[in-house]
Amino acid sequence: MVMTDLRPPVWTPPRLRATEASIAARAASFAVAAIAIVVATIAGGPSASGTGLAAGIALGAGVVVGTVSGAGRWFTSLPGPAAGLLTLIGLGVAFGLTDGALPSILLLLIPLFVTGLDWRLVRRLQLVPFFTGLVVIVAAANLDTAGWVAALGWLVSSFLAWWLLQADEQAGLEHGRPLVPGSTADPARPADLLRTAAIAVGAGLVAVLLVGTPSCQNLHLGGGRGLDSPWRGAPHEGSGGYGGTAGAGGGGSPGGSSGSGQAGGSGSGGAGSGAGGSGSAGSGSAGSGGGGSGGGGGGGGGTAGGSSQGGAGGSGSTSSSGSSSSAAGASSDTGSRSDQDRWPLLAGGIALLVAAAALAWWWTRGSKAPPGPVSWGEGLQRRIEDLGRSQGRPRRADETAVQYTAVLGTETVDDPRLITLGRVASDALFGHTQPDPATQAEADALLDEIIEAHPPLSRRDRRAAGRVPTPV
Amino acid sequence: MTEVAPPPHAGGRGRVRVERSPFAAGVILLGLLAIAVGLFGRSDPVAALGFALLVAVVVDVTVARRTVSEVTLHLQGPIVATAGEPVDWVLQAFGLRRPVVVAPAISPREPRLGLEGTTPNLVTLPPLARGRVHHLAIDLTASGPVGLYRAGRRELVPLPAPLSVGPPLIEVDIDWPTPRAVGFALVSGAPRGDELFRGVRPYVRGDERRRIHWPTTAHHGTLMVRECDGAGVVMIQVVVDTGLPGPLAEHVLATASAVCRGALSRGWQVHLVTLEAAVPHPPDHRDLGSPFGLALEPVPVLVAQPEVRVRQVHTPQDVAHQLAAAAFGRPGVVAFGGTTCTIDPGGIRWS
Repeated sequence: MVMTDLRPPVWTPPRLRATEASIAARAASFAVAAIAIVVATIAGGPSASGTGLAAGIALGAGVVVGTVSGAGRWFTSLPGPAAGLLTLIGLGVAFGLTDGALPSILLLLIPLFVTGLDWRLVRRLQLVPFFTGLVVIVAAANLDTAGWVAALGWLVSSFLAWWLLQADEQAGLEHGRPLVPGSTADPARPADLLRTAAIAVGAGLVAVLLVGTPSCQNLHLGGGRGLDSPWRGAPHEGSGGYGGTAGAGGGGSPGGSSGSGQAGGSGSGGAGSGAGGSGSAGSGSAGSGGGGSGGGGGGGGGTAGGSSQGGAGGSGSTSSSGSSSSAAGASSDTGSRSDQDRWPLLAGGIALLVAAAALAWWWTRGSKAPPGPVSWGEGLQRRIEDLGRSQGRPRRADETAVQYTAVLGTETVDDPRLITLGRVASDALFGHTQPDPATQAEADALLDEIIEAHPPLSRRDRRAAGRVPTPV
Repeated sequence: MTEVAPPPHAGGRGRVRVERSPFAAGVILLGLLAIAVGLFGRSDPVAALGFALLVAVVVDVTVARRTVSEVTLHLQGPIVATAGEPVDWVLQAFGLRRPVVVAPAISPREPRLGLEGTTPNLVTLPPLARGRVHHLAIDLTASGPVGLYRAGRRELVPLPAPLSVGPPLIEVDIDWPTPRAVGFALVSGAPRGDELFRGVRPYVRGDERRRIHWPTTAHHGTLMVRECDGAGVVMIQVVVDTGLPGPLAEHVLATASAVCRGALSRGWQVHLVTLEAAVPHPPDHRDLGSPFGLALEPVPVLVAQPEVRVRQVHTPQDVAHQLAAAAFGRPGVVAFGGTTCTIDPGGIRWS
């Protein structure tokens, strides 16, 4: 006898390959980067517009050249950004050697062009929103209304890019051969993107409404506090009494000096005025603070703001820096009042957040998925468990089917035939072969008979039955 | 012999696990940074951007988890397979609302198959080790809408009928004996005999003189001999002594498979003698592991007190079915009237 060697396995696992992004995904990723460049350009002022435009064109040119010529294949082990960084270093050296003979803008444009050449792989393009996001955060922080547009545009385009890249990755997988012709589905589902973007943007706005500094907050709280202050003689004094506040409100300069005592007592106005550099910034915090000594700071801030009215307030608060303790007490009182005023706003915000969460849950829940087919053994087991549940003895997590039916058959239902049914169900679930149809029909009939003989217990009886300790 | 352990109850679903994609950490960091910049720098747009990014992460995780938790897989395949060869399966996913990825929970975890619809698909999965398989371990994963997180679940998909994975098919050069008949019947591959006339052919040196067919010799003018077949029934018993567990034992089983298939092709009746025992249910698997962690190793089944199983096999499928569940060791002597073929690590012996 000659025993030959075992044949080598004919199974050869497919090679793992990095998924390439589609043209749409590449364009969306470039849009993310372009938005970041635009935002940075706007934040940089008019002088940066030329540089920003050139940077966008350089990156776009790199993307187009890399896509058309297939140059992205060169960047298998070295990612494009790393290559761009190396290019930047090389250019820096060359710039130093030539004593600045080269145009300095090349230090920006050429690395961006090299980075754009590797605009191909899904895994790498997924990082584009992250790096551009750093730019957007820094730039948008210096913008006012344009900041909202920039943040929203970048966020939506980032979601779009991620979604397209995700669909590309799914499409790049190996797929089974459908037995029904033409039954393949599209892996990209726009509803997923819309839901995610809507929920994220909505929740972000609600969160900012809760913890941010809405523009209405200053006016509302400042005016209310000033008008309602019980130890102020007149609204005029009150409004001026906010020191830096009044400067902001624009009406405080005359009364700033007269009402300075309480205003100064409100304390931490200094912080607000310093931050804003004008009376308006000082307004919000002036009334909410504590000690009289802090009023000096508030006044100073107002003064630093350069506003004459703020300056007036500042002088007033400075003069009252040594005000009595009643001022401080009054200040805390006004603070509690302001908290009361904020309750409706907080409650509304929380309600909005809860509504957004409920909407998110409902949206992600979607339609109920159709259940899969159930084997005969599983169906029998479920019916047995339903029976036990209706008798106040649900199946425990650590019980096998046989153990459960043994407990049911000897204690709860007191029908030993259930033990046999449990064995049949266990064999059907785990056995090598399925019970023959006659056995299945017999088991079904037997269980029907047991269920009919034991109607479901009332809720109270079930609870009582559940309290009875059952030995394992 | 290995066998994938049956689950504690039907379904055999593992816990849903979540894995962060490589760039999700950057997104979370970006969100926290934006919130910090937005709050401390008093920039509401930036703060809103940060909150939105973090909420997107939460939505992504939620959707991914929900996707994998609602899917039920069904597999249909052959009832007999060969160890070391891939198997074609019909895979169908129920409750699928978003695309998922399925992969075998064994090493290597290839292929990773994308499933996007609920229609059945024909897929080829990696080969299995010899044994009887009741469930197939599948890793099911899905990403969120923007791919920040992946959720996965390991599932033991029950098979409609157990799959017997027989030993690999190898070529064995067998020196077949001339067995004696134990009965009479018209079967192909019967031993030599004079019962059935097949035809005549020219004489070649070594032919018996008594086989010369004189009428055709006179007709052709050259010596012609007649050829006949016997009509006896040959019955052999193949006793498989695997010896100790290991590659050699698997080789012995593969050789036994080749002998049985060869004997069946000759029309012989084959009685296969192996050691086998009912496989006890393994302990419950409360935790099947993570689809993002280690692969699920087949559970070695330690068979206690195996019994000798003697069964007449009629087809190669019967042979694979019995050898798939064969335990290691030497079966005892079984009285038999025909030819006995003993296969052990030392080779094939006829008696």
